[in-house]
Amino acid sequence: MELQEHLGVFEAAGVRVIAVTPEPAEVIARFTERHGVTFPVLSDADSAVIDAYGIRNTEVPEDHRLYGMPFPGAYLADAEGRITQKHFNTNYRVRESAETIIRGDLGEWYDPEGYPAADGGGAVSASLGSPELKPFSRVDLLVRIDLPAGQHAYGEPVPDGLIATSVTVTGPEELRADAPVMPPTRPLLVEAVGEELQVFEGDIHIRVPLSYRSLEAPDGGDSVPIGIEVRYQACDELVCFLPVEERLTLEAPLGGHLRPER
Amino acid sequence: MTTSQTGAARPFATGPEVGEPLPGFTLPDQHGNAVDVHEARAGGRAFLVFVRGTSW
Repeated sequence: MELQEHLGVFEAAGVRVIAVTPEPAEVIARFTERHGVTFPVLSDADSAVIDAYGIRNTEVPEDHRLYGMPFPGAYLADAEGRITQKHFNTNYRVRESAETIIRGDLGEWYDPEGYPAADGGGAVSASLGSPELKPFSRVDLLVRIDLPAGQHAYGEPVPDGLIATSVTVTGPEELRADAPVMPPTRPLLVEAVGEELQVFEGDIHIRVPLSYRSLEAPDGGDSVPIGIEVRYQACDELVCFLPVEERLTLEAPLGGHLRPER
Repeated sequence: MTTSQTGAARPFATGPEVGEPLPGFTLPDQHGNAVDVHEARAGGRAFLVFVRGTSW
Protein backbone atom coordinates (compact mmCIF):
# COMPACT_ATOMS: atom_id res chain seq x y z
CA MET A 1 0.00 0.00 0.00
CA GLU A 2 1.66 3.07 -1.30
CA LEU A 3 0.73 5.65 1.33
CA GLN A 4 1.67 3.23 4.10
CA GLU A 5 5.08 2.62 2.51
CA HIS A 6 5.81 6.31 2.71
CA LEU A 7 4.19 6.98 6.06
CA GLY A 8 7.60 7.46 7.64
CA VAL A 9 8.33 10.37 5.31
CA PHE A 10 5.08 12.10 6.30
CA GLU A 11 5.73 11.39 9.98
CA ALA A 12 9.27 12.74 9.73
CA ALA A 13 7.78 15.94 8.27
CA GLY A 14 5.35 16.10 11.21
CA VAL A 15 2.34 15.44 9.01
CA ARG A 16 -0.54 13.24 10.19
CA VAL A 17 -1.96 11.13 7.36
CA ILE A 18 -5.74 10.58 7.39
CA ALA A 19 -7.74 8.93 4.61
CA VAL A 20 -11.47 9.10 3.96
CA THR A 21 -13.42 6.71 1.75
CA PRO A 22 -17.16 6.08 1.28
CA GLU A 23 -16.64 2.35 1.81
CA PRO A 24 -18.30 0.68 4.81
CA ALA A 25 -16.24 0.37 7.99
CA GLU A 26 -16.05 -3.46 7.77
CA VAL A 27 -14.55 -3.34 4.26
CA ILE A 28 -11.99 -0.81 5.47
CA ALA A 29 -11.21 -2.93 8.53
CA ARG A 30 -10.49 -6.01 6.40
CA PHE A 31 -8.37 -4.02 3.96
CA THR A 32 -6.31 -2.20 6.56
CA GLU A 33 -5.65 -5.41 8.50
CA ARG A 34 -4.60 -7.34 5.42
CA HIS A 35 -2.29 -4.56 4.23
CA GLY A 36 -0.93 -3.48 7.60
CA VAL A 37 -2.27 0.06 7.30
CA THR A 38 -1.57 1.94 10.53
CA PHE A 39 -2.89 5.43 9.75
CA PRO A 40 -6.60 6.17 10.24
CA VAL A 41 -8.85 5.27 7.32
CA LEU A 42 -12.26 6.78 7.99
CA SER A 43 -15.56 5.48 6.68
CA ASP A 44 -17.84 8.12 5.17
CA ALA A 45 -20.48 5.51 4.35
CA ASP A 46 -23.26 7.97 3.46
CA SER A 47 -20.83 10.41 1.78
CA ALA A 48 -21.87 13.15 4.22
CA VAL A 49 -18.33 14.52 4.60
CA ILE A 50 -17.69 14.15 0.87
CA ASP A 51 -20.81 16.28 0.30
CA ALA A 52 -19.84 18.78 2.99
CA TYR A 53 -16.55 19.24 1.15
CA GLY A 54 -18.47 19.46 -2.14
CA ILE A 55 -16.31 16.88 -3.89
CA ARG A 56 -18.85 14.17 -4.71
CA ASN A 57 -18.51 12.99 -8.29
CA THR A 58 -21.97 14.06 -9.43
CA GLU A 59 -21.48 12.53 -12.87
CA VAL A 60 -22.02 9.08 -11.39
CA PRO A 61 -25.71 8.10 -11.67
CA GLU A 62 -27.61 7.16 -8.52
CA ASP A 63 -27.96 3.49 -9.39
CA HIS A 64 -24.25 3.06 -10.16
CA ARG A 65 -22.01 1.15 -7.78
CA LEU A 66 -19.66 4.15 -7.58
CA TYR A 67 -22.47 6.54 -6.57
CA GLY A 68 -21.34 8.75 -3.69
CA MET A 69 -17.66 8.52 -4.65
CA PRO A 70 -15.52 11.61 -4.21
CA PHE A 71 -13.22 13.04 -6.81
CA PRO A 72 -9.94 11.60 -5.52
CA GLY A 73 -7.81 14.33 -4.03
CA ALA A 74 -5.89 15.50 -1.03
CA TYR A 75 -5.51 18.52 1.21
CA LEU A 76 -2.54 19.54 3.28
CA ALA A 77 -3.48 21.53 6.39
CA ASP A 78 -1.05 23.50 8.51
CA ALA A 79 -0.78 23.44 12.30
CA GLU A 80 -3.63 25.97 12.50
CA GLY A 81 -5.91 23.69 10.48
CA ARG A 82 -5.82 25.91 7.44
CA ILE A 83 -5.46 24.43 3.94
CA THR A 84 -2.05 25.26 2.55
CA GLN A 85 -2.06 23.00 -0.50
CA LYS A 86 -4.45 20.79 -2.36
CA HIS A 87 -4.17 18.34 -5.15
CA PHE A 88 -6.87 16.80 -7.32
CA ASN A 89 -6.66 14.61 -10.36
CA THR A 90 -9.60 13.66 -12.57
CA ASN A 91 -7.71 11.05 -14.47
CA TYR A 92 -8.40 8.01 -12.32
CA ARG A 93 -6.02 5.85 -14.26
CA VAL A 94 -3.01 7.95 -13.38
CA ARG A 95 -2.72 7.88 -9.63
CA GLU A 96 -0.66 10.42 -7.86
CA SER A 97 2.05 8.46 -6.15
CA ALA A 98 2.96 9.28 -2.61
CA GLU A 99 6.40 10.36 -3.82
CA THR A 100 4.85 12.97 -6.06
CA ILE A 101 2.74 14.27 -3.22
CA ILE A 102 5.66 14.36 -0.85
CA ARG A 103 7.90 16.21 -3.24
CA GLY A 104 5.36 18.26 -5.11
CA ASP A 105 2.95 19.17 -2.38
CA LEU A 106 4.95 18.82 0.80
CA GLY A 107 7.99 20.26 -0.87
CA GLU A 108 10.27 17.63 0.59
CA TRP A 109 13.13 16.21 -1.36
CA TYR A 110 14.15 12.92 0.07
CA ASP A 111 17.17 10.89 -0.80
CA PRO A 112 16.40 8.45 -3.56
CA GLU A 113 19.46 6.33 -2.74
CA GLY A 114 19.15 2.87 -4.23
CA TYR A 115 16.57 4.01 -6.78
CA PRO A 116 17.34 3.72 -10.51
CA ALA A 117 19.77 6.45 -11.46
CA ALA A 118 21.96 7.73 -14.27
CA ASP A 119 25.06 9.87 -14.11
CA GLY A 120 26.48 11.61 -17.13
CA GLY A 121 29.88 12.11 -15.56
CA GLY A 122 29.41 15.88 -15.56
CA ALA A 123 27.35 18.11 -13.31
CA VAL A 124 24.10 16.39 -14.33
CA SER A 125 22.59 13.30 -12.75
CA ALA A 126 19.10 11.85 -12.63
CA SER A 127 17.17 9.37 -10.56
CA LEU A 128 13.70 7.94 -10.40
CA GLY A 129 11.65 8.98 -7.34
CA SER A 130 10.63 5.38 -6.81
CA PRO A 131 12.29 1.94 -7.02
CA GLU A 132 10.44 1.28 -10.27
CA LEU A 133 8.04 2.65 -12.84
CA LYS A 134 4.50 1.37 -12.23
CA PRO A 135 2.05 1.22 -15.14
CA PHE A 136 -0.47 4.07 -15.06
CA SER A 137 1.00 5.52 -11.87
CA ARG A 138 2.65 8.85 -11.61
CA VAL A 139 6.28 8.93 -10.57
CA ASP A 140 8.85 11.68 -10.54
CA LEU A 141 12.05 11.84 -12.44
CA LEU A 142 14.54 13.88 -10.42
CA VAL A 143 17.17 15.74 -12.39
CA ARG A 144 20.07 17.39 -10.60
CA ILE A 145 22.54 19.94 -11.87
CA ASP A 146 25.23 20.36 -9.27
CA LEU A 147 26.98 23.64 -10.05
CA PRO A 148 30.30 24.50 -8.47
CA ALA A 149 30.18 27.19 -5.78
CA GLY A 150 30.05 30.69 -7.22
CA GLN A 151 28.39 29.62 -10.44
CA HIS A 152 24.84 30.13 -11.52
CA ALA A 153 22.59 29.07 -14.41
CA TYR A 154 19.66 30.93 -15.91
CA GLY A 155 15.90 30.59 -15.69
CA GLU A 156 13.53 31.93 -18.32
CA PRO A 157 13.51 34.49 -19.80
CA VAL A 158 17.08 35.04 -20.98
CA PRO A 159 18.43 37.67 -23.35
CA ASP A 160 19.90 36.68 -26.72
CA GLY A 161 23.20 34.90 -26.39
CA LEU A 162 22.45 33.12 -23.13
CA ILE A 163 20.91 29.68 -22.73
CA ALA A 164 18.12 29.09 -20.21
CA THR A 165 18.16 25.90 -18.17
CA SER A 166 15.97 23.21 -19.67
CA VAL A 167 15.22 19.50 -19.31
CA THR A 168 13.75 17.43 -22.12
CA VAL A 169 12.59 13.87 -21.53
CA THR A 170 12.24 11.38 -24.36
CA GLY A 171 11.27 7.73 -24.46
CA PRO A 172 8.84 5.25 -25.94
CA GLU A 173 5.43 6.50 -27.03
CA GLU A 174 3.79 5.16 -23.84
CA LEU A 175 5.99 7.38 -21.66
CA ARG A 176 4.42 10.73 -20.84
CA ALA A 177 6.40 13.52 -19.27
CA ASP A 178 4.77 16.64 -17.84
CA ALA A 179 6.45 20.03 -17.94
CA PRO A 180 9.53 20.09 -15.68
CA VAL A 181 9.01 21.77 -12.34
CA MET A 182 11.95 24.12 -11.85
CA PRO A 183 13.14 25.30 -8.44
CA PRO A 184 12.72 28.98 -7.51
CA THR A 185 15.14 31.44 -9.06
CA ARG A 186 16.60 34.56 -7.53
CA PRO A 187 17.22 37.85 -9.32
CA LEU A 188 20.87 38.67 -9.97
CA LEU A 189 22.28 41.76 -11.61
CA VAL A 190 24.60 40.42 -14.31
CA GLU A 191 27.16 43.13 -15.03
CA ALA A 192 28.20 41.76 -18.40
CA VAL A 193 24.64 41.95 -19.69
CA GLY A 194 23.68 45.05 -17.72
CA GLU A 195 20.40 43.38 -16.74
CA GLU A 196 18.86 41.69 -13.77
CA LEU A 197 18.35 38.03 -14.65
CA GLN A 198 16.68 35.12 -12.88
CA VAL A 199 19.27 32.58 -11.76
CA PHE A 200 19.59 29.14 -10.20
CA GLU A 201 22.53 28.43 -7.94
CA GLY A 202 24.20 25.51 -6.22
CA ASP A 203 22.54 22.14 -6.40
CA ILE A 204 19.59 22.61 -8.80
CA HIS A 205 16.79 20.05 -8.38
CA ILE A 206 14.32 19.73 -11.24
CA ARG A 207 11.31 17.45 -10.99
CA VAL A 208 9.65 15.90 -14.05
CA PRO A 209 6.36 14.07 -13.39
CA LEU A 210 6.19 10.91 -15.50
CA SER A 211 3.66 8.22 -16.23
CA TYR A 212 3.92 5.08 -18.29
CA ARG A 213 0.71 4.08 -20.02
CA SER A 214 1.22 0.44 -20.82
CA LEU A 215 1.58 -2.83 -18.91
CA GLU A 216 4.44 -3.90 -21.16
CA ALA A 217 7.97 -2.59 -21.43
CA PRO A 218 9.23 -1.91 -24.97
CA ASP A 219 10.68 -4.78 -27.03
CA GLY A 220 9.51 -7.42 -24.56
CA GLY A 221 12.03 -6.21 -22.00
CA ASP A 222 11.51 -5.40 -18.34
CA SER A 223 12.66 -1.80 -18.27
CA VAL A 224 11.80 1.49 -19.94
CA PRO A 225 14.61 3.66 -21.31
CA ILE A 226 14.14 7.29 -20.31
CA GLY A 227 16.21 9.76 -22.30
CA ILE A 228 17.12 12.96 -20.48
CA GLU A 229 18.60 15.98 -22.21
CA VAL A 230 19.72 18.85 -20.02
CA ARG A 231 20.84 22.21 -21.38
CA TYR A 232 22.22 25.00 -19.30
CA GLN A 233 24.84 27.68 -19.29
CA ALA A 234 26.89 28.31 -16.20
CA CYS A 235 28.41 31.68 -15.39
CA ASP A 236 30.28 33.06 -12.45
CA GLU A 237 30.93 36.69 -11.54
CA LEU A 238 33.50 37.12 -14.28
CA VAL A 239 32.82 34.77 -17.15
CA CYS A 240 30.17 32.68 -18.81
CA PHE A 241 31.15 29.18 -19.80
CA LEU A 242 30.08 27.52 -23.04
CA PRO A 243 26.54 26.15 -23.02
CA VAL A 244 26.41 22.58 -21.81
CA GLU A 245 24.23 19.87 -23.28
CA GLU A 246 24.29 16.60 -21.35
CA ARG A 247 22.37 13.50 -22.37
CA LEU A 248 21.66 10.63 -20.00
CA THR A 249 19.65 7.45 -20.32
CA LEU A 250 18.00 6.03 -17.25
CA GLU A 251 16.76 2.45 -17.46
CA ALA A 252 13.64 2.34 -15.27
CA PRO A 253 12.49 -1.16 -14.28
CA LEU A 254 8.78 -1.62 -15.02
CA GLY A 255 6.96 -2.85 -11.95
CA GLY A 256 3.88 -4.91 -11.35
CA HIS A 257 0.37 -4.19 -12.48
CA LEU A 258 -2.20 -2.34 -10.47
CA ARG A 259 -5.12 -4.40 -9.34
CA PRO A 260 -8.09 -3.88 -11.69
CA GLU A 261 -10.31 -0.86 -11.13
CA ARG A 262 -13.28 -1.55 -8.94
CA MET B 1 2.90 24.42 -6.66
CA THR B 2 0.07 25.01 -4.27
CA THR B 3 -3.01 23.90 -6.16
CA SER B 4 -2.99 21.55 -9.06
CA GLN B 5 -5.62 19.89 -11.16
CA THR B 6 -4.20 17.53 -13.69
CA GLY B 7 -5.73 15.31 -16.32
CA ALA B 8 -8.92 17.34 -16.30
CA ALA B 9 -10.93 17.54 -19.50
CA ARG B 10 -12.88 20.32 -17.78
CA PRO B 11 -12.92 21.84 -14.31
CA PHE B 12 -14.66 19.97 -11.52
CA ALA B 13 -15.38 20.61 -7.86
CA THR B 14 -12.32 20.37 -5.65
CA GLY B 15 -13.87 21.60 -2.43
CA PRO B 16 -12.50 24.20 -0.02
CA GLU B 17 -9.72 26.41 -1.29
CA VAL B 18 -6.17 26.99 -0.18
CA GLY B 19 -6.21 29.52 2.67
CA GLU B 20 -9.56 28.35 4.00
CA PRO B 21 -9.89 26.30 7.19
CA LEU B 22 -10.03 22.55 6.62
CA PRO B 23 -13.70 21.73 7.36
CA GLY B 24 -13.91 19.65 10.54
CA PHE B 25 -15.72 16.31 10.85
CA THR B 26 -15.82 13.13 12.89
CA LEU B 27 -15.99 9.66 11.29
CA PRO B 28 -15.29 6.09 12.45
CA ASP B 29 -11.86 4.63 11.67
CA GLN B 30 -10.95 1.00 10.90
CA HIS B 31 -11.00 0.14 14.63
CA GLY B 32 -14.46 1.61 15.17
CA ASN B 33 -13.11 4.68 17.00
CA ALA B 34 -14.68 8.05 16.24
CA VAL B 35 -11.90 10.26 14.83
CA ASP B 36 -12.15 14.06 14.80
CA VAL B 37 -9.89 15.24 11.99
CA HIS B 38 -8.61 18.28 13.89
CA GLU B 39 -8.08 16.40 17.15
CA ALA B 40 -6.25 13.68 15.22
CA ARG B 41 -3.64 16.10 13.92
CA ALA B 42 -2.92 17.07 17.54
CA GLY B 43 -1.86 20.63 16.77
CA GLY B 44 0.27 19.55 13.83
CA ARG B 45 -0.09 19.37 10.08
CA ALA B 46 -2.42 16.91 8.40
CA PHE B 47 -2.56 15.29 5.01
CA LEU B 48 -6.21 14.46 4.32
CA VAL B 49 -6.70 12.10 1.40
CA PHE B 50 -10.07 11.32 -0.20
CA VAL B 51 -10.07 7.99 -2.00
CA ARG B 52 -12.78 6.20 -3.91
CA GLY B 53 -12.23 2.87 -2.27
CA THR B 54 -9.72 0.63 -0.55
CA SER B 55 -8.39 -0.59 -3.89
CA TRP B 56 -5.54 1.89 -3.68
